[in-house]
Amino acid sequence: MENFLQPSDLTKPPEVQTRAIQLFEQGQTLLCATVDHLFAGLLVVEWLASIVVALVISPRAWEGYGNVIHVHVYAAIFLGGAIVMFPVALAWFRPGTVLTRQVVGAAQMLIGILLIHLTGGRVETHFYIFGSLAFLCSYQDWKVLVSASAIVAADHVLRGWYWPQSVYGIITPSPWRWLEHAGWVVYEDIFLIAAVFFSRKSLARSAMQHAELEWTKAGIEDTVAKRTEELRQSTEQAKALAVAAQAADRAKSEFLANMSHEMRTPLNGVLGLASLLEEAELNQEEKEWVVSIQQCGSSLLGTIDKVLELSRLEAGQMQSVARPFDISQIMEEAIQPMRDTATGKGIELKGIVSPGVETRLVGDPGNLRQILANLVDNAVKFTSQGSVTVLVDNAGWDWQKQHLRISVQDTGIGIKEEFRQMLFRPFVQGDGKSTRKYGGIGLGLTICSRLILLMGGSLEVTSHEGSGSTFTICLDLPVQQELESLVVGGA
Amino acid sequence: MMAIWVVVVVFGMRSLMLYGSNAGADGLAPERWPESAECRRDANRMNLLMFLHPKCFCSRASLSELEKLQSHFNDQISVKIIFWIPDSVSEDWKQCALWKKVQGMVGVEGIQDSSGKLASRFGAKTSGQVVLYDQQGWLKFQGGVTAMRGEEGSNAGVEMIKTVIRKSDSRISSTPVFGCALGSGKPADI
Repeated sequence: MENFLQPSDLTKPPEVQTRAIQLFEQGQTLLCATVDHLFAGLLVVEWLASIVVALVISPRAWEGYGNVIHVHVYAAIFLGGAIVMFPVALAWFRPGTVLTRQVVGAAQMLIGILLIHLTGGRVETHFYIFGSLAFLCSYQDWKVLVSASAIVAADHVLRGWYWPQSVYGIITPSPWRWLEHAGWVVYEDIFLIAAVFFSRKSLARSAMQHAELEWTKAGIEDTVAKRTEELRQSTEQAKALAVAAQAADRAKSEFLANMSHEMRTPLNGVLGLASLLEEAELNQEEKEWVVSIQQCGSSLLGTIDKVLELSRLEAGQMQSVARPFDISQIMEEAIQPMRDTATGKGIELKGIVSPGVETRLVGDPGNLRQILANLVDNAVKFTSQGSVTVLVDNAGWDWQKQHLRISVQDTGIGIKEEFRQMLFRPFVQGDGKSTRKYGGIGLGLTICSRLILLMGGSLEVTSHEGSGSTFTICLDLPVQQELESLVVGGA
Repeated sequence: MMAIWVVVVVFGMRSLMLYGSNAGADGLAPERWPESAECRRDANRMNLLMFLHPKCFCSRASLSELEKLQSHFNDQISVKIIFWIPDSVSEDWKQCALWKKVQGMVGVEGIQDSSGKLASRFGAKTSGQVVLYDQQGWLKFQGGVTAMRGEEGSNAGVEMIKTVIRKSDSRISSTPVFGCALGSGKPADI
């Protein structure tokens, strides 16, 4: 195999070269084993043919009247059998070995020589020797051809030595006469060996390509396995991080909830005492101080409530309770608290339910009311002139569900593009200037979006700075059919 | 095992060669053509007689060699093929394959030698025996025209006959004869 490697093959990885050699040798062994079996069959056929030839051409030898079985018949049976049996046994029990093919090659030549003898040395039978060499070429082993040809040459040399007339027809031939006969065999061998060389070269190329293919495939499989393992590890890490993050988030929420609770208790005490103090006899300045205490306390209490609510949402402690309600009523309840404020600012505040909207629905009216109230509150807060409109619209029907599109549209200051992206994140507000002017801690929209998610809906915003904003809620709610109360979400 | 195989095969091949090269009994032809023989001599050409055993496989090669020789020297030799026919044999001896072949050869005369009288007269003891007499009736060659038993191909006998025909050598040449024994022509030989 090494003799057939191309210079470019030597630059290939050692494992590819080793595998190519292994494949080449396996292929050769398999080929030789197959040819061994074929020759075993051929030799048996040739043996039987030689017996038939002897029986037909020279069945008996005569001496006057008398006759006996001809020696050729015995030779065909016993000598032919002796020639054939050993290689057949080797082909059967040890196929693919060097010894087997060498013995098969020798036997093929010997049976040919026997056939020539049995047919009376006919020139035509000599062609079988050349045919046999061509058959032996199937082994793709030049050594078999050489040893088989050597047997032919040895036959001529020995017979020329001991029985020269049997080969050359004369008693005293030239001692080199055998070379003339063997030369024709060698002449054929040259072409056969060349054919063997090219065939082995082709097989070696094929083995090298196969080895490269295997190597490439193994490399790909190895890479895939590595990447899969890396992906698995990354996924596990991500899961662990997610679990840790969730745990940390829950811990944070629990902490906030606890802290909010702890803060509410003394704050309620402060507000209660402030209410008592308000009823006491105080001068004007002291009353203003008490009012300031109550306003600041209420504001702080509202902030704590929002933090507490967000914490409960993040901790998964909030549930959406489904019960029958009327959307027009909810809308009105959300708007009503802001009417005085809107009127005071000279803003038109109106609620519209489009015709065709099924108002009797099933859902969480408390959450929906809170969301709408927050959105309306924001809209009124950031609008100095114009109007704030709440529109409940029909977005379609599907399997006895009302697809609602509730929009809260204002003509206020609008929202900058960079803030719209972060609007629903907790504690995010506009710039510091608006924070100081309008107040708030940036939790209202975050809570709204979380509550809508909890109800299975979505909240989007469209806005242009200076020309108002529109917050749109999309929500699918079942239409009332009978009283039912279902828990549709929760931790 | 390999050694045993080699020994057996070599021994077998050697035995076969020994058998093939084992010549038959030498004949002793009269130096002068026996005029009393029931076989007419051609006084204008050399006379070649070949004695054959009708059943002898080896004689096919002898006849084949003679056929080639006769095709070269048809106008110089008179060829007669004499079949040794012993007494009391079946018809298939007389109508054997060799006889039929001779009947198809141009310029060759086939003679059935009942009781082997001619064979005895010319001293032929082995199938394939050839005797060659010149125009004056002198023996010039006696022997076989094959190299071994039943082996076709170039051989010393044919070469000697060619030499005799071309040079009319005064010496008597001889070669061994390879073939079946002719016998005396009587059943007692069995």
